[in-house]
Amino acid sequence: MSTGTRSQLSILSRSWGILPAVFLLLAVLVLPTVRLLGSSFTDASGAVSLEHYARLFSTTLYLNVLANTFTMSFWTTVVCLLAGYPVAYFLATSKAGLRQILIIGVLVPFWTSVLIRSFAWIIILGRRGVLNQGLEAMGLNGIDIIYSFWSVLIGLTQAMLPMAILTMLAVMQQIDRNLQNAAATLGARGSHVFWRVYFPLSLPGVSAAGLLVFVSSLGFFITPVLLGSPKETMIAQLIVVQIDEMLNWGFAGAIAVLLLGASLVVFYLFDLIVGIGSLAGERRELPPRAGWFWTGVGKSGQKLTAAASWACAFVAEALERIGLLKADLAPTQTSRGTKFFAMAVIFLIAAPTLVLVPISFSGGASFDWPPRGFSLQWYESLFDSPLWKEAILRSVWVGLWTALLTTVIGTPAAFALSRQHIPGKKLVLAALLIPMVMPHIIVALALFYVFSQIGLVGTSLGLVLGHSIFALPYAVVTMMAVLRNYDQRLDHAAWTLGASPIKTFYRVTLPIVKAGVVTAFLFSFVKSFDELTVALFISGGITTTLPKQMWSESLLNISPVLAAASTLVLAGVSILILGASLFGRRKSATN
Amino acid sequence: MTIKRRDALKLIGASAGAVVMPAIWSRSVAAETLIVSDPGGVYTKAWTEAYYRPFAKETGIAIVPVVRRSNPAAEFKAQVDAKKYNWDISGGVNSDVAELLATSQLVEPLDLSGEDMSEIPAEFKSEYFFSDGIVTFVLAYRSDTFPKGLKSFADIWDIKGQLGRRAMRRLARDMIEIALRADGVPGGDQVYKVLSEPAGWDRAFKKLDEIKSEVRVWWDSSPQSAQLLQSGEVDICPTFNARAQSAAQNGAPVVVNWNGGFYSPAGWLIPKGAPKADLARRFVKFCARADRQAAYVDILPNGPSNPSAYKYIREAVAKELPSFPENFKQTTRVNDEFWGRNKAMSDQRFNEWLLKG
Amino acid sequence: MNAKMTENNDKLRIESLSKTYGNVVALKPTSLNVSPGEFITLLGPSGSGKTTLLLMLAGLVAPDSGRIWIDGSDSTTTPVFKRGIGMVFQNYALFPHLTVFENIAFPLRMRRMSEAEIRLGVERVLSVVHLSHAADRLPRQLSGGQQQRVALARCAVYEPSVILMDEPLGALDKKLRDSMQIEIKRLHTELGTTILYVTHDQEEAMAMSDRICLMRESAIEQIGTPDDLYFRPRSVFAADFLGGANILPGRVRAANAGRLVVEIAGGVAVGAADIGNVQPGEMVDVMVRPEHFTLGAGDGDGNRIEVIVDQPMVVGPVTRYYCRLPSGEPIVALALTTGPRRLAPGARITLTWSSERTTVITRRREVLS
Repeated sequence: MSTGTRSQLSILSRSWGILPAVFLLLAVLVLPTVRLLGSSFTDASGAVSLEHYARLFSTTLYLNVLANTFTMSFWTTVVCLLAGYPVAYFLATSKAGLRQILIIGVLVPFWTSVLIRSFAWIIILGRRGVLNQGLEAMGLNGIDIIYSFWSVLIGLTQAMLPMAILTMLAVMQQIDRNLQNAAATLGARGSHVFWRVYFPLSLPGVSAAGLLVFVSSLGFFITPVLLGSPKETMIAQLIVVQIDEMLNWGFAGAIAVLLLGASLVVFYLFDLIVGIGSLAGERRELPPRAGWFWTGVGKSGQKLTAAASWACAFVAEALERIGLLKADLAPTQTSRGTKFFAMAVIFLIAAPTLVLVPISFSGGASFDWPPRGFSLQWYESLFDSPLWKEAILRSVWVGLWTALLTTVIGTPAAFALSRQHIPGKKLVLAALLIPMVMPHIIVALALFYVFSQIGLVGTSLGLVLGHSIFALPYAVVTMMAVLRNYDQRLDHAAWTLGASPIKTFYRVTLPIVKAGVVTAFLFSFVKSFDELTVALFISGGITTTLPKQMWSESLLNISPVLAAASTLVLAGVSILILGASLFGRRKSATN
Repeated sequence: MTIKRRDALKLIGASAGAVVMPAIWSRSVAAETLIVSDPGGVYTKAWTEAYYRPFAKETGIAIVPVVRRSNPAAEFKAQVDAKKYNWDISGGVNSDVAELLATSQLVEPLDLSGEDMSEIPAEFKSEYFFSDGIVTFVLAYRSDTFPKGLKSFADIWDIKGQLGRRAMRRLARDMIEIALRADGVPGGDQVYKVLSEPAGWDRAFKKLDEIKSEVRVWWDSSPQSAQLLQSGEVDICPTFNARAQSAAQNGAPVVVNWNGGFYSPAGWLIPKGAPKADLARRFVKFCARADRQAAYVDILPNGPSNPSAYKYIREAVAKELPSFPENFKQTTRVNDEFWGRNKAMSDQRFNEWLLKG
Repeated sequence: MNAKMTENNDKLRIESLSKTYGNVVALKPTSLNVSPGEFITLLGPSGSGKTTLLLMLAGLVAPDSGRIWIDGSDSTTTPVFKRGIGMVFQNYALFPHLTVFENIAFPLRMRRMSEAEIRLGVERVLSVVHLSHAADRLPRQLSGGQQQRVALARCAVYEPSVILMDEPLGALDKKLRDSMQIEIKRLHTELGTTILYVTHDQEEAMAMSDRICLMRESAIEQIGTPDDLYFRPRSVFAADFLGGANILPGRVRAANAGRLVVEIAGGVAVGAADIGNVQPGEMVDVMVRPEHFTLGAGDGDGNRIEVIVDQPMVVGPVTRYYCRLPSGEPIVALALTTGPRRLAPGARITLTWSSERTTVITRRREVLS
């Protein structure tokens, strides 16, 4: 892999690419978080004090809510993995064209505010909601699950499923489909092909998705409030109350530290057992800390997985033999049941957003089901309002800058990281991935502290910086996946043909990895476009983003104007993606 | 219908400037501008008609409305601490927040001179805070479930007599106020007298215990309460008068009972050290005018603080408003100073109580 | 159809098998019989349909039409895992999450063998492929050649009566290929397995096969022993694909007594064995292998041409002479490298060869029966 020329270069010239990323991390993530941490150790007068922590542990309230938060996140993760796996499998095995269309379906939730989606769930699940009206029309009894554990679970699952699916899909697409063929020729029936070959190979994706969903769910505060009862209170909600209603930022910091500590424990355990690199699709080479205990845990984990795969394989085989599962499928074929299930899940992911479409044309002034009459008044008021126009433009604008910044910073970092021989590579990678598993609320809070002191609150620059931190890991991971398959000999060839390293980069490397750069750019854009928590804290004044505008609007009045805005964005984005993929396909056809 | 291309370009250009230099992105080239933060939505609409446009016409000072957080306390603190101001003044701020901000020394003193200001009752103006609109927390219910009507908060506790789904607010202050009223304490100062002793708190929570299992929804954001009543998800839901009335306006059979309601003034505050504080003070005085307040409450059913405003308000609108004498006399004011002192404690206790069993 | 079951004892029988993807024909209707224990190679350039044919045999691709018999029973719709066919994949398809031992044990576990049988079986094949020491390693810790041997072992361990190999040596270097060819050949003779082997390397095909099935444009071009294809190609394509070939267009002047006389460029008459079914006056191609020329006036039975040497090239034990006819057509001749001295460019020499080593190829495309 390594060549003489490269090993002659100094470490600095090999690793300069990671420096901007590391700098961004330090400035926008580490320093603010440390400051937040610090502020939680001071009292109102600024003196060092443990009063916030004394208060935190003086009652069982905060630990109870933390436990609630963990329980809720745990079940959300379980359901996301169970429901998301077949979808990811279906996507991984279907043709590129179909996959693109279905991914649009999976991405639908990103284009409306999480708050509005929660209201959509209320419309669907409510006492006189879509679901119950439907059930009654069929002569069945209505069900009553709204404002309970179940409705929160549904809301959170729907919010987290896209990420779970895309994470698992990335790993599944790398599995060599010939392995399934090989297993079949060696005598494995469908159940065994899947459970003993495919499933174990897809596990890194499953565990990465699990971690991302779990930790992201820890920071939720909108869905549980709107869809749940007080028993589903999650910890982020208490943080928001301390900041907004009490102006007690130190105590908010202390609660955030509690959440951060809990997240880091989860993160640490994950790294020990699975390896943090799996978030970036890296394969774990050796146990990082081969203490006997964790080696033991790792080994027994493997044994357990193997045993579970076996058990599943035999159960599935039994089902095949009694004819409940189809046995004579080609090994890479997806069964009709899986397809149906996957389509149903995608439908459920998109459903709450799709409910908004008819409501946006409602003649009435509220979120009613069924919508009363037909009118375009909500679209008119949307276009009449400069606020909405500005918010949309602002979101696009901030999104573009975020995407640009993360791509410019993330690309060299990915290049540096995907080549060998960088000292502390693992550590840098882990650091770059941390924003993925930091609850947004903590970062938002930390940034709010620091930005408010240097006057960045309420500026686009502040927003771009805040969003970039969250988009950066996705950009780096996307780029690294592309670069893993990049043949470095092409660079060497260009050099021998007389191109300078910079020319080589622009004339050879970049054109080849262009698709990856574009994907990273889009990912970052989406991440920023959908971001609410940071925007909630550090946008202000004139710099309102679309999610923030939807949020503040919905805090005032749940009017169909929100549905109109959501529908408009949904339509716009779908057209954009479809157009881009059509363009891409035509281009590849002419090539 | 469509964004004009030139506008779009201007916006993009302006945004570019905003990204490069973290300063306020100014939309207007008028000689003087005042950036006013409001809660957005219907507030922006009402105040544009009632205040912003007339003010600009009269003074030549352009108003740039921006949307703030629903609770702007943290924004005040952030701006004052950093001495960077995203806006010069904020409206629609609740009196409890005003109390907190004033005690935290985060606001500018106001100019309470002038004829219009003198018409305002003392309880709606202070050195730092001027209220132009009053909101009242009332008993609201659906008349299709309760054709005979509900008379007081105590009826919520009548589990056997009044069948129907109940929703309550997930906020200690409002629930304790309601619980004590339902337990026979008359409103106003009596409530705070009872709560001056620990036994009073126990009494309130004991009363809440009785109803806890009957509460179907604990709502947190106020539009949710309107949605709950509107869709028929619940049948009883104490909420802000304007919320219940908007559900009724949208055609839902929702009735407001003012009896025992408690009100909070909402109004204007200037962040401490704001560079255009003088201009902002001028604007606050403008908001004290009777005709302006009348124009405001015509769009948004809050109670005008200037009694003379009722001269300009249609009868049908007037009797729906919190400060309409007939309604006003049935309600009492929330003691913000008391709740400010007890908020941390009461919130914690209330949250513990909610999570319990 | 059932009647045919008893009629023959073919190991594999394919009848009019075809496959299309969209508008792309992957395999035109094709028939093929394979005897038990036979080593048959599907040879052809990429895109000629050989892999499609193999995948249909394995059951990994469903044919559009036609039937497949294995051991005399119709297996066209039998699921893959029940066919009992072994397959070695191009990139080995070793399970990356399983050790070498578990990879090889996989087919035995699928057949529900006892733990003791599995251990015995795996250890036996591991020693055959000289990898006993690597049993606990993961595939990615092995070299390419070792991975290849594991793939072979995994296939051989359950002794399937038919093994399909899809360019199994494609990723190996020359030296490894040579030794692996011997390994596969040994496996074939020792186990008596029927092997269907896909490759695009003609030398590999010549070296290993009992029969070669040459494929071109989604159909079988010619099928026969290596000798058949080498010495009696029935098309210019076949002649060219297997070994070097000088193709000289000409016209049949006479055909009698089992002998043909063909007039090639420059009016030179060339004698050749009759292949039947050729009429005087017909345009044909004459094929002569470079190694069949003798440099200088040899005895032969009369075929001779004058050529001009363009470039002699020593390629080890043999020297390749790039020449041309006076009329310009290129000719390649091969001679043993006997010493450092050789002909200089521009030299005029005579090439002679026997008419037995002259193959006439008709231009009429025969339809394969």
